[in-house]
Amino acid sequence: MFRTVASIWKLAIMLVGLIAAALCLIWVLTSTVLTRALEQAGRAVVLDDLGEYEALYQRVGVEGVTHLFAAGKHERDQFIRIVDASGHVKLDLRPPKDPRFHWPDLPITVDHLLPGETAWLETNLTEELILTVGCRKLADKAELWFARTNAADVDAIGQVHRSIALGIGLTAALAIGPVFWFSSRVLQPVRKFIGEARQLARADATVHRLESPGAILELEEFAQAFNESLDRVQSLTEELEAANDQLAHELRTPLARIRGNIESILSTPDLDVCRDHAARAIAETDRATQLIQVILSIRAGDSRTLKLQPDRISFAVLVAETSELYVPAAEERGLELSTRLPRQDTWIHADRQRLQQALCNLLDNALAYTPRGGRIQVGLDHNGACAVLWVRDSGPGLAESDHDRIWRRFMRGAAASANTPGIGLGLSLVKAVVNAHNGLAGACNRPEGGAEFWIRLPLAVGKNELAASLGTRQINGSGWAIDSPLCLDPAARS
Amino acid sequence: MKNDRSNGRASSVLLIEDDRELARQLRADLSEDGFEMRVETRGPEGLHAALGQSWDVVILDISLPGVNGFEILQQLRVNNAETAVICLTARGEVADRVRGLHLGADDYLTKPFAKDELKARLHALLRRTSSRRPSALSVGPAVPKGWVINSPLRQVTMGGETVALQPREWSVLEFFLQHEGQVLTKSHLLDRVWGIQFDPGTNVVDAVICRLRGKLQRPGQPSHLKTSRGRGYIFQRDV
Repeated sequence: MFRTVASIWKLAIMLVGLIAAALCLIWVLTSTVLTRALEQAGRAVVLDDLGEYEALYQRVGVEGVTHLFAAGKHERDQFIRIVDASGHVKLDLRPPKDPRFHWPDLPITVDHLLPGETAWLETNLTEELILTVGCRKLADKAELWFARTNAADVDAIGQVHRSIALGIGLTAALAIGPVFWFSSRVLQPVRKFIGEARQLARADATVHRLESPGAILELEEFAQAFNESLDRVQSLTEELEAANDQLAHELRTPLARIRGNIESILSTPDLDVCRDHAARAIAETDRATQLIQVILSIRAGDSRTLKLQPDRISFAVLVAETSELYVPAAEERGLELSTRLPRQDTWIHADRQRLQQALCNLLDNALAYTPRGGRIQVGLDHNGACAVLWVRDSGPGLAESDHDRIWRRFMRGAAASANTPGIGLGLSLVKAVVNAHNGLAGACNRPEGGAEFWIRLPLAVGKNELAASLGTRQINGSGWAIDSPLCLDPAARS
Repeated sequence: MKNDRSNGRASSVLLIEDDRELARQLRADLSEDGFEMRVETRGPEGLHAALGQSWDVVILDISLPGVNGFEILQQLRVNNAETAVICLTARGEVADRVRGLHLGADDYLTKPFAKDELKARLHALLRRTSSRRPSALSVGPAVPKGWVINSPLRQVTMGGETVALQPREWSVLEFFLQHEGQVLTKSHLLDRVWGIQFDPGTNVVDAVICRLRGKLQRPGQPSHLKTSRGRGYIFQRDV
């Protein structure tokens, strides 16, 4: 049932309960301790005064005692009585007439006391008023009675209690402050968040954002983090929608061609022509399949979720094998494809298939954009803790506007013509793969003409295999651990 | 090639594939090729069939309703280490391929695939699991008449003329000789000769084959290495 009570009331109830409990405890403890301490102090006062009056009586007699008592400050709650050996009351002084203050109903003498000894008695005058009585046998067998009430102590304790009560009131009043603060800085923003979150669920998630003016710092941070997540979700959603649109668009083309070919098969009696159409349809199907695979890989690479099967591989061997695959195709196009590899082996931690796919895309690009008679060079260099692969061509190079564009999906360089193969995904895939390997890819124009594309990847650790976790920490030759961003400085490129 | 087994009986193939149309096409195609086909379209029935009798090859789709392909593969390997298994999957992830091969799959194909490639892989598997035939290159019947092959030197002598092949050209020829008479798709060649499981874009395979064909062709004679339009390449001993 407490669950259904509004938080602000819960807080108020809890605060009031806490304050009341604390003050009750203080009340009880203070009363107990004070009462006990004052009781002891009262006895000490009685004992002191007995001694003082005894000395005075023996030196000056009853008159001295009377005089001192009269001059004393505590006559309101102090009694004194001297009874001589024969039981005759020689002196009986008591506070001004107050029915509460009276000697207890006791025998006037205490027989068994020896001179110098003191007898004690405590008795309640009223429910809270206690009389502490001390009786001392004097040297002349007379008895000196001195009594003191705790009226002053009761007053003092009362004073303390009144102060505590005032404290309770003040604290309760001050507790409104935190409750109000909690209400305005915490509860109200949270309620606002709830409202906004409900709107988010109902309406367009991309529009609403949490607002937290005046909320506590933590809630402001929460709103900020939440809004950042929403921004990310929004951008991912937009990207996904755009990718879906693009994919749908890009798939329609091969589907239309496939359909066209199949329709031709249906309407053509010539078997050879039919076969030709079927072959075209199959080629288009392969193209569409590849398109889907590449788009998925790029998407995964961009969001760093590309699944890699990293292995310690020789980059040089990979480059040599891959460029060798392209030599016949290059020759067919009248291009010279050469490879320049470093003398020492270049070990990297990479997913062989993915990296080879990236390299194939660079070579594919070079072959597509370099005119007949041109030259393509593939090479590998060491640069600090990195390996840099480059593919240089003698093609038209990159236009000013190409530098950013070419890495985006479905964007092709200015030199692309309608006859240039490809759909503008190759470099996006290169970037995605290289990103997934914590590397960097780039392109520039060469001073002597043509373009250069490069991939920079962190080298694998030499003898010890500490860099098994891909790209997080690498070890340089001296054995010191260095962070891989060493490879993030394009200016250091050879 | 109707019969692959050394004893001459038709090879038994269990196809576990939930897509009925694809299953229908494969059943028709492989039956026509002389395979004894049985098709299951659900995981549990597929598992039951796989364990129920001995098969020469199981073609196993990975995403199946009920029990998935990986589980069937695992069960199959616990009970029977011999049956050859080809996995089919719509997911081209390398991780899936690795998982399948780790669990004991003999081969792996990503959808959509060329039927020729599936058949070539089937035959290769059947050859591997049946009589351990010596390498096709030594004295094998796949070598065309008049050819003398020198494996260590990667040389082919044809009618007195000797041609030296580059290592990769040699691998391609070797693969063709091992699959004499079968259509080999580009993706199959890329996978088996270069270890590449993606489309490298440029017509690299065509160029390599073209060059190899040029080297192996004798003037005025037809080439043994033929192009099957839209399908791939085929090496024929007798032309």
